[in-house]
Amino acid sequence: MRKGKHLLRTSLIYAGLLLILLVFVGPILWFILLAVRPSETVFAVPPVLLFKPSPAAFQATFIDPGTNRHQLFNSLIVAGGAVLLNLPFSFPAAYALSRFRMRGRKNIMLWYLGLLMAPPVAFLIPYFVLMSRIGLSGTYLAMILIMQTITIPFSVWLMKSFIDEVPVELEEAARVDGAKWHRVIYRITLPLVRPGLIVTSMFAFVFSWNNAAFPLVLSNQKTATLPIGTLSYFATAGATWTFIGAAAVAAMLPPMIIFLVLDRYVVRGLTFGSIKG
Amino acid sequence: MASLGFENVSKRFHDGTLALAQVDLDIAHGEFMVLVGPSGCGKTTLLRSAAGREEITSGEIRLGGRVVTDVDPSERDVAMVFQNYALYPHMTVRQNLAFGLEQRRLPRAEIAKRVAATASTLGLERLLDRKPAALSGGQRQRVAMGRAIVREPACFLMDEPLSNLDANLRVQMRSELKLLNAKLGVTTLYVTHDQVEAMTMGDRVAVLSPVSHPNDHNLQQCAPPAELYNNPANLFVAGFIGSPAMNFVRARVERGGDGPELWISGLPSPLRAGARVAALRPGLERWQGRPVILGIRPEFFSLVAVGQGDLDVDVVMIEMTGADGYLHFELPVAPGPIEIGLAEETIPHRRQQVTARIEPKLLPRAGTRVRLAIDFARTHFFDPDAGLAIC
Repeated sequence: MRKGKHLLRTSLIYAGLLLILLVFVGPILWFILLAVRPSETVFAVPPVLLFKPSPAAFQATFIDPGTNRHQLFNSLIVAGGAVLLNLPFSFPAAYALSRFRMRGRKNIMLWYLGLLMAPPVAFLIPYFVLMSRIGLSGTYLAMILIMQTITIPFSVWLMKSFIDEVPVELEEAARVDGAKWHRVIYRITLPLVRPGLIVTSMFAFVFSWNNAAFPLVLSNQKTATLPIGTLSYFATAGATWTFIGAAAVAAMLPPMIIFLVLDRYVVRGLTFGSIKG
Repeated sequence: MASLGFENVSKRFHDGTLALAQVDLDIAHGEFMVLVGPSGCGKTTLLRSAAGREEITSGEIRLGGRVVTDVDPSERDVAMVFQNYALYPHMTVRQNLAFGLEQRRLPRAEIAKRVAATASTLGLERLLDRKPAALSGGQRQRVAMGRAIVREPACFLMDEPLSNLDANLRVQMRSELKLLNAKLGVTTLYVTHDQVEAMTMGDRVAVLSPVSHPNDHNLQQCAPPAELYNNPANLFVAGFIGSPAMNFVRARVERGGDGPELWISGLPSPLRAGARVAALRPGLERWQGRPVILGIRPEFFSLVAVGQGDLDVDVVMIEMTGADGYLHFELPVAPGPIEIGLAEETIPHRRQQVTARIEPKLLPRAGTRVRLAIDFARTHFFDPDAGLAIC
């Protein structure tokens, strides 16, 4: 009797988990199917479940004519550039906030938090005006610079938590051992916060990769990123859904690969500070 | 190897806390100096200021005759052993030992030679390729020591390096540290809150107390362990050194036929200290008719037969630790200033607990009445206002 009850309970739990999995994975699966199905079956009623998959949408978007190919590279340039610019600024800021006594430290941290809370869309027009006036509108640099307004605050907050976990005594020991301050950071602090650097870079990459609002006003046809390319398929005559699916799958892939490969750092980053260790 | 000196060192933190006030301390070449005191007495702050990790507010710090007050920590030629070892967790034992030498740009061959020699001295050869997480507490402590030794510094600074070890390992490492120090002969400043550690390890022990005013002094007494134990300079040192702690009893000194008489309020008759005490403590003569504080260590008491000794007491509690036995009894507490002048029957009844060390096989039962003798020749006397020893 007890065994039967246990079996029922386990089955219900697994059924619930499967349902949750479908809710999260379902849209991804739908987009993948959208990209490989014939276009006439996209909104067919009744739904067409069995069809011959075709790579035609991927060929058209990335190979011939390859409308989205250069947008894919643009996204890589902008997201990669955002990460490269993010780290040299966020790490020193986080280190200073973690290690140095300074007046207004708490206020600075709250200010960073405020930046995170403000909706980026509210700043689109001002950013467009600013970049136009300094002649950077439509350039990669404009997007990379503006991405920092959302990536640096988050990076500083996250990185500070990692640096706080490095005991000050280790740095003191290194100083007494004869290391100058820059050697202490390079040989002691940086290796110990490597998980923090990785997770910060990952989040900075994903935030920048997925961002459509800033490239919408700051890019041009030459520098448009993949999210912009995907939006362009919503033409007045109707959307080319299979192309949208192909572009969306391509857009999903880099963040998914990054998170799959580096998932242990993500778990550590998300749960950091939750348990005193 | 060099001497280490603190001249009129004071330190006030940013929040206004006064940690050090007018500390004058000289440590000779090769000396093992122990700083001991309760929490907040400034011993760690003093040690960290020697390392350059704390900036002092005023005064001077000298190492080997050179003023190092404003010298960068990386250039002071001191090696520090931290309470929690502070081993670099991402480096192997070999890399931990070599780190300091690499910062000084020593040739690789020299680094390898010194690391091997230090590992051999401390029994770390088999552990060189392990990381700190794979070491036991005692092994980590050895690596922390090795990291200091390998640099052949002018001075070792040790901040409670044994406090994280279990009791048995602590005793073992204490002996090893002492032997190592004797072998290396490096000037060492060692901080501990454990007075047993202080008394067993130090060539000299500096007892520090917390301060609250710039005119105070942290340093209460600096002397070899035996001197501290047998001749404490004041009430603070007397009460801190010795376990169980010294018993303090208020008494009034009067001249008796055969040496000083000590009247304890509430006792029917005085304690007769004897002529020898008058000879040993000539300063007591000036305290005739005045209150003093008696400092009686537990081992100054002995059980005697009825008709002998000094004191009849009721045993409140006994304790047996194996090698030692302790008998606890109570004595009346002398009236404070507000109560002097009141009629005897109106003074509120207060008693204080006193501890006597007795041989375990002679320990009486709790509740019995026994007779105790006091070794007045070794008893200490203190000024109740200034707290200084009366000699």
